[in-house]
Amino acid sequence: MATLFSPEEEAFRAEVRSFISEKLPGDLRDRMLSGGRPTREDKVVWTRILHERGWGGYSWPKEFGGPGFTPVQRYIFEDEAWQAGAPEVVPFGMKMVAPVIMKFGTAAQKAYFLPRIASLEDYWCQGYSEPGSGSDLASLKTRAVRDGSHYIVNGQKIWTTEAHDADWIFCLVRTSTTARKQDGISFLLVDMKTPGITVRPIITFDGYHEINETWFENVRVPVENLVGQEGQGWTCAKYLLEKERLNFGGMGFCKRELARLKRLAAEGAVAERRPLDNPLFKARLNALEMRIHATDLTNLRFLRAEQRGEALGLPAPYLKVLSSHLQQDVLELQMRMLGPDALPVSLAGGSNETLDAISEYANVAPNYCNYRKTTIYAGSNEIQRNIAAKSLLG
Amino acid sequence: MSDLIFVPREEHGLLADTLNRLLPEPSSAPKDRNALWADLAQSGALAVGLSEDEGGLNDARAVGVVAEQLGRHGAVSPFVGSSAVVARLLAKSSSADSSAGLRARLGDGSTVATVALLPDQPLAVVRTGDKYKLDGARRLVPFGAEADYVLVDGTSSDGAHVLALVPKAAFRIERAVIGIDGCPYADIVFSDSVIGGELVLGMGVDAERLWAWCGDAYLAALCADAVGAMATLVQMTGDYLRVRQQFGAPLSSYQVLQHRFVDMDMALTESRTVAEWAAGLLDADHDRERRQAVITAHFIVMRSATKISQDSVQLHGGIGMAQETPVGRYFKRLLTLPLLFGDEDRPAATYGNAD
Repeated sequence: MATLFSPEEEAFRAEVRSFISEKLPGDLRDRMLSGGRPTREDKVVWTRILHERGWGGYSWPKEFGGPGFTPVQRYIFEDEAWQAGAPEVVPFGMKMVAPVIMKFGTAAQKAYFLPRIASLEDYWCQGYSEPGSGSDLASLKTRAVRDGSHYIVNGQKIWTTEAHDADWIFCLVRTSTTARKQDGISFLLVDMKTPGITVRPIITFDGYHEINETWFENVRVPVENLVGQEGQGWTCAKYLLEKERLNFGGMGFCKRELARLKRLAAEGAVAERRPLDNPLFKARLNALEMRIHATDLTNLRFLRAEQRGEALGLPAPYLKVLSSHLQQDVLELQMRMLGPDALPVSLAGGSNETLDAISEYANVAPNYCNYRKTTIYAGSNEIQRNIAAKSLLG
Repeated sequence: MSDLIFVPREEHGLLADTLNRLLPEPSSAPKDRNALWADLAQSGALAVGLSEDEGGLNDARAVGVVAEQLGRHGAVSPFVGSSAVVARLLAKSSSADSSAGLRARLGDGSTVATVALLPDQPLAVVRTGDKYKLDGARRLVPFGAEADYVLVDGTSSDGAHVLALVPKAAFRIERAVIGIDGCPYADIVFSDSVIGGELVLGMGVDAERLWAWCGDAYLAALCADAVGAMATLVQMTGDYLRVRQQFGAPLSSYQVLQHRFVDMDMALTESRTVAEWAAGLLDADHDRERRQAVITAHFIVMRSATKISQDSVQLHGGIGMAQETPVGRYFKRLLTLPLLFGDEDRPAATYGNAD
């Protein structure tokens, strides 16, 4: 008989599990396991705990201060963290800008930024999309014009997740309008405290503030904050996509929320309707669980291939498409199962916090609304299919 | 040797290559079944599920590799019942020692066994001395008219399961048919059929467990077979999209078709995952673990098979409807799974019930 994991990997899982159960604050865990969203402070607290253990940059190789996990160890680590109720680390720092700095950055950039990312001294956000450049990202217009030892940045970024919490933003900016549009783009690191940056909230229809529009007006950025060569920004962005092609987070979220769905189905206010006695609901729940297993294992199958140094199929687009739909579907089934109990989201004349504090169900419908984003962000699922088609059909 | 699921053994690649060379091109007409069976026997593929001592790899995953290649090449054979199920069951059952000769004959293809999968008719088994007498019927037994032995799950007078391997001399073929999937099936009748005690492979709870394993082994191999058939359909459809021109451009230049094709390939990717997982857990120590993996494979493969087979025909357009286009053959091959084992509603209803 064969197994999914080796005995060494199972031992690693046990080590991670016991570390998390010992170190993760109970109130934080409880909030995460009941559908809550982590605050900036939650992420800081948890990342610092990981950092003390040497796991602040847990996806990094040893030479940059990471633990040098294998791809499968990293999968196990995240799988455990999600299911135990740990908040997700800030992806824009550890998983996105850091690998780009490791690959294209100067020695000074590596020495300065990487340790500050691992300890979450710097909270990062991403400046890619613009009002006129969504799926057609390479058409972006935010200008960076060289002026002595600085770039002067002017323009507008949009959908900047957590810009209001961030210390730094990594941006794709246009440094040339004459080159092919991809070749006129550069990768720039910008301190959010620089004069001329304005962050305005965009409230999403779930009622929450998560994303923003970020304006740049004559923002002076030192030339040493350019990553790679001028005009190499598109290459950096593509490398980032490739590097991050295995998006574990999505499946961890699915498994956590599936567990919540099953718990809610078995207990509490919905008990009088006994959803588990309804064969149609049970079949839907089973179907969802089997789909989650299949995608989770597909992720693992790709990682095994990566560990063997083998290219195998189309991991990035497929996992993005499959996992984004599963995230939406698990939240949708939570909401539909609760039915009328999912209706109230705030107290009349009161605040969200008030109802959240007394009802676990208050976040279910807003979470469902919020996660419509997953099929849109990080390259919409339509863009993912374009990428896959290019590779399959030429 | 690696024991990790999703990490192929070296032998798996060699086996797949051998069969790929041996079997007719997926788009060519199916080979004569007897000649095909002889080729398979010669290659050693029929024995891969047996132990190393018996010339096999003792590896359910290798059985999956063979089944996938058979599906990929549209090869019609009793491999699943004979090699993937009965030969391996004999090694698991209490009569393992006495059945060594039979296993060797199944492994070299000189004897063929099959499984009566649909236990929906009464089949009484009565002990008389050291023999057993069977009365009843089984319908739609795959390769039932060609097999030397049929594996049946009957009921004793006290209601216990009895798992028996019945030689063809002891049953009668009532009707032989060809299925939509291109496989032969037979309705068979047992009437005062007497078999020796050595052919009873299990009684009571023991028989129940073994029979459950047989169903899962059959299903897992069919899932692997379906992955092969789906891979062929995806391949053929991609080739067609690249070549076929309409409105002055290849079909592959149209986004609406690109996206449908990507969804087909994505469905195949997921199916391969679960089929490999199910094969890897087929011999798991815990029945429940095996059961859940096989049910999941059934569900995911079933969804993918429906999507891929239907969309393959659609994307081929009119030519996809023609009998001479090979697409239709694989479309029909993929009907074995839902028609014998149920469509995705069945796993959706039963998943988790093993708790």
